[in-house]
Amino acid sequence: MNGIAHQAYLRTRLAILSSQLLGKRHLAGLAHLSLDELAEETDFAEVQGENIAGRLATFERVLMQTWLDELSALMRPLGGPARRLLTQWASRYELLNIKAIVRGKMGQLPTTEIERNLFRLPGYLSLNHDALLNTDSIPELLRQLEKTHYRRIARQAIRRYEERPDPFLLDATLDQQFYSDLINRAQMLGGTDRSETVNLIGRIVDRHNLVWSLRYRFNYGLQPSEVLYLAIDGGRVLSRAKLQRILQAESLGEAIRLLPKHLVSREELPTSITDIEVVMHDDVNDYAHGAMRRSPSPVTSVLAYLVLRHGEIQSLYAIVHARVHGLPDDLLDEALDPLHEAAA
Amino acid sequence: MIRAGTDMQHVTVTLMRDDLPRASLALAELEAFAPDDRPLLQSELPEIPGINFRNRIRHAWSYLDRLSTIMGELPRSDDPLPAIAISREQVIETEAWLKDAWEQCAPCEAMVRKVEEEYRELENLERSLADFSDLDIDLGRLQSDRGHLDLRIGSIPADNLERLREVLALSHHLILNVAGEGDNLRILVAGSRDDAAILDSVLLAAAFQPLNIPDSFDNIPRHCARS
Repeated sequence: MNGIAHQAYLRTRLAILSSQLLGKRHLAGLAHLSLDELAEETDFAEVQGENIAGRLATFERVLMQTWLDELSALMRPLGGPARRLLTQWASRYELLNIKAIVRGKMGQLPTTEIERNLFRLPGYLSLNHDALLNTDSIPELLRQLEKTHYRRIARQAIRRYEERPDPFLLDATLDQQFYSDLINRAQMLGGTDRSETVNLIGRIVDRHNLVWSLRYRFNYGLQPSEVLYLAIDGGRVLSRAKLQRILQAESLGEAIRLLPKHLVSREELPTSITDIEVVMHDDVNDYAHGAMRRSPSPVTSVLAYLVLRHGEIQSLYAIVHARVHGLPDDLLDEALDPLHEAAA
Repeated sequence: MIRAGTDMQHVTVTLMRDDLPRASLALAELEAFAPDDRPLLQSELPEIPGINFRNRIRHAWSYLDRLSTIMGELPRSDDPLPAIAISREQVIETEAWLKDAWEQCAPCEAMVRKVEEEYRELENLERSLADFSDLDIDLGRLQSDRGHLDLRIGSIPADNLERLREVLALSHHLILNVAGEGDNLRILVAGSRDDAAILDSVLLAAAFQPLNIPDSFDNIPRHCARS
């Protein structure tokens, strides 16, 4: 296929997939179905398992597998830097698997149980889980990780783990490398593709940096400098200097008052980290909807679709999970719409 | 041009449970059959016979691989080894033996690694003396109380230098000197003793490893090297 044919194929494929996005209203409607109706509507009824926890875990993996399969299909006509960018986006599931293995080892879970919770990765992601699973301790696991393309992180993690065996430092480092590599690959794109994807990724990085920095600072009690060090480069609005001013606040309330004006789209600022996460999630989604439909860059449109689809899959899983465990309607509504915007 | 998939067939084999081992062996001997482990018929066929057996084999292999890393590969024979059928009990016994062997050898492996790291560190120290020779400071003074000044000397992964420099500048710390090349760099950081806790937390995040200055390094580098 030549370039124009590739674009036409991609746009067509994307148009079909994006027409299947559920949307907020439909998700809210699903939340009000009975468990049996919801199970039929979402195919949860088809999922078998020994117990409810097993069925939910399988359901989650099936949903995420769908996302990976859609990404693989959208990636097919792409080559070069665009393909490498989307491959990097898919590698977040490698990270999730590494995190799951680390936590499983820390919790001393049997290898078979850890393995059941891993995502099955497509062939273009090359991490060998067996080698990581067949380890007896975290340091040994990290030494195996040193033999992979995560060797830089692994070396640092070994040093840190000896000082302080905290899984969250490893999480933060994995996230840092993931977004850093993503931005580097976006910078390899040409012209409009580069500026459009860097804009979209920059918004995602701002959201991640703000939410996690506030959590590390005001929930975990880390020092501002340590939190600053763990922040990711490449945000659209939040530079390191701006983040430092926010983190040096004495309280969460003061930190929120110091947020740059154009960071969130609301006049009235949220008052909790959870609400900030919701607002920024919605802002990124609104932007992604626009980028998916109107961006002159096909790879940006694809990335925007994948961001939206991932969010919907997470919401769908949350609804099924909540219904299966008997969460009342009002609590589920609160979880899906904590800012009560649907009622407004 | 070969396109993956055009000459391949996806087949489903249905057979009685008792025939599964023979069928599996026959398919394996073809050397052209790749099992599809996607959960396609999970609801109809929830059980995978032999999975526990295979897991035990896998665990046993992993212990054997780890032991081979320490002790070297088993001697190879020119004559191909005959295939033997191994029972479940024999697999359990073998796995237990290998696990026990690994548990005995693992501390030795850790010790060997520690010795190698200390040896590398000694080489690094030698290089440090050379690197810091231009600094011309009395290393003995780094080991003594320095009043309000907080000085740290150690190594960081090279990738972390710029990020660390940027963050430390915001907390009024300075990286005074950088030496070395390759994956790890040696640095000297200075700041106020009042901000020691801040520096501790940032250096931890940057995977900083303090350099242990031996007592014998109690002078400027060129004098230490001579002695």
